[in-house]
Amino acid sequence: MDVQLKRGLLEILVLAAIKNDDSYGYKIIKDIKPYLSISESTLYPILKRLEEGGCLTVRSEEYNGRLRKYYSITATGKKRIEDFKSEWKEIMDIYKYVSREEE
Amino acid sequence: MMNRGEYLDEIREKLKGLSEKDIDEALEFYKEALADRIDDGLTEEQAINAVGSADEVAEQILMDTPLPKLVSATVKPKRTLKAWEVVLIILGAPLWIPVVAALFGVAIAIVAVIFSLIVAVIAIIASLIIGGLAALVAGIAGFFAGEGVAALAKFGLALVMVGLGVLLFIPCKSLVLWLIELCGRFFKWIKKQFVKRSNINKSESK
Repeated sequence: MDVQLKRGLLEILVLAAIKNDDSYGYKIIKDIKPYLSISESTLYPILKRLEEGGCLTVRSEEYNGRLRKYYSITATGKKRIEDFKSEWKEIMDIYKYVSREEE
Repeated sequence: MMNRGEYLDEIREKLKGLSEKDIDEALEFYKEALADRIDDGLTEEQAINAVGSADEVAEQILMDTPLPKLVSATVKPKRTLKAWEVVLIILGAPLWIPVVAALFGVAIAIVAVIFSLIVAVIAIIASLIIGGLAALVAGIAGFFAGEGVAALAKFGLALVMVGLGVLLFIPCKSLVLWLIELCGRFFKWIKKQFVKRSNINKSESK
């Protein structure tokens, strides 16, 4: 897959992974694994970018005697998902037209 | 095989130069990542492999760091300089300052050339269209002033210029976009040089 495209899709996948419930790094990786397989070394810069862009917020919480970072989506993050959906609706329509049966 | 502490130390070493806050934040994240994977049943070694090598981790972070921050991070010496090194650097100033200045100049020149090309392309289109419109007005005015054939020639020339301007607009637009992209790629390339160099320096000093 094209690198730029993958980058963009990963950002949306991460947002989608936290859109209903707050989540943490390892869980996000497991949740999006069926769609795109990534490791923490790829996830970290994405989370930072999304945080800097105001799409999510981070908080530390204790778990099992250690700290774990939980990520929650913001209104901006939700809007990113909606924008993605409407954009891809258009792309899907184009796809359908391009791949229609030959007559 | 390295353990968790060594792994985190190596990441810290490779990120040296970034702010303490950035480094600590990254290390906290990777500490948590290892702990979560170990809780999940992996051994320390397997967890490190799954998370990604220290090189990979550092490169991903550095490639996502803005260029100015990256330059100041990688140019900063990794250790305190010895006295004779300071002396050498000062004595060598007549040598290395011009070299650095020249490299900097070349980078600026490349960007300047790209931008002047963009400006030139836009200017050509603009002059064709504006000049054409002016000639059009002149032609019409001349016609009413009784210039006859000369006015008609002016009128025709005006239409040719405007037509050329409009015709060239689309290829020139994509040319300009391509030049801008080229500029972006050039910056990315410079950035890559810094990331690579900083990794080489660190592995040499090991």
